[in-house]
Amino acid sequence: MPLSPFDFQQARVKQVLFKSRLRSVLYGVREAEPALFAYAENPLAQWIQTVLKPEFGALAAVRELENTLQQMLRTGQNLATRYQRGLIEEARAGLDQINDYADQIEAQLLSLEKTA
Amino acid sequence: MWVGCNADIHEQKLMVEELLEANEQQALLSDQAYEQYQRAQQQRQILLDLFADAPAMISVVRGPEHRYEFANTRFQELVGQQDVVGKTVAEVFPEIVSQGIVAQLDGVFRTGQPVMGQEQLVRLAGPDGQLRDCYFNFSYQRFEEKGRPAGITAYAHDVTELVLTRQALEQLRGRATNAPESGLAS
Repeated sequence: MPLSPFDFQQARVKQVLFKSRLRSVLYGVREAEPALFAYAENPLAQWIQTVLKPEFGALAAVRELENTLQQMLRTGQNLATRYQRGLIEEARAGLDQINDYADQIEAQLLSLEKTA
Repeated sequence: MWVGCNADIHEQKLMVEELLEANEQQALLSDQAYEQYQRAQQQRQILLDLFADAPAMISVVRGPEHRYEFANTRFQELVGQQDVVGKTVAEVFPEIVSQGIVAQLDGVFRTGQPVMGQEQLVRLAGPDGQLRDCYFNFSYQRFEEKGRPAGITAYAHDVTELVLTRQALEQLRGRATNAPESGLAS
């Protein structure tokens, strides 16, 4: 079935959720659970696997989106590690990098949405 | 000073916590909405598949101009396999405008009163442009969206052969009744 704007809206909600969960780790609201940074358990990655790939599997843009998400998860894990080591301000400042990845993901989603 | 700073941190943490809670809830809600959407799509597909190959002509027209949104296989056969979706009834069947069919659709759309017909004569243009008599059993029913008239669903059976056969039989019977009783008079 062709993807609708509703499908892409799902992806956006999932990506905001990751940022919010990471922020909550860096502000001491939540513990940094390994699942938060595991690609296979990331809600957006699961969306790519189950919704996007069946429609767009062969497109290079899908691989690019996966790469950006993997980089965002690695950066997030790195920030959580810094926070655990007591580098709190440095870790929080690193959220800017996460926002940059989020912007990239948004642009990639938009471009995929146009081809849908 | 220190107390104020501590309060700020506490407040900041509280805001992050609230934001997280809001986003978790939104994600949950979004998953539920998506699940409902998928279920609705699947149900829609089941109905479309059922209608597509039904042994009757089924079509859906939208808006006051009666623009085709769906036409099943039998209906496509009637119009010589042309793609009617996106065209109006008057564009697909210009010959029926003067026969009052479009006015009938206008009435259904305006009043919401369904119309049912038995063996209604419609003169349709064939591929050669010649008009031929066709007879249909049909029903037109208005559907609404958000409480407003949205379009008409049409269901029709082509009973032309049945009607023509009956007419031929009636003619034969008529002839047999009117014919002089052969040979008996002499």
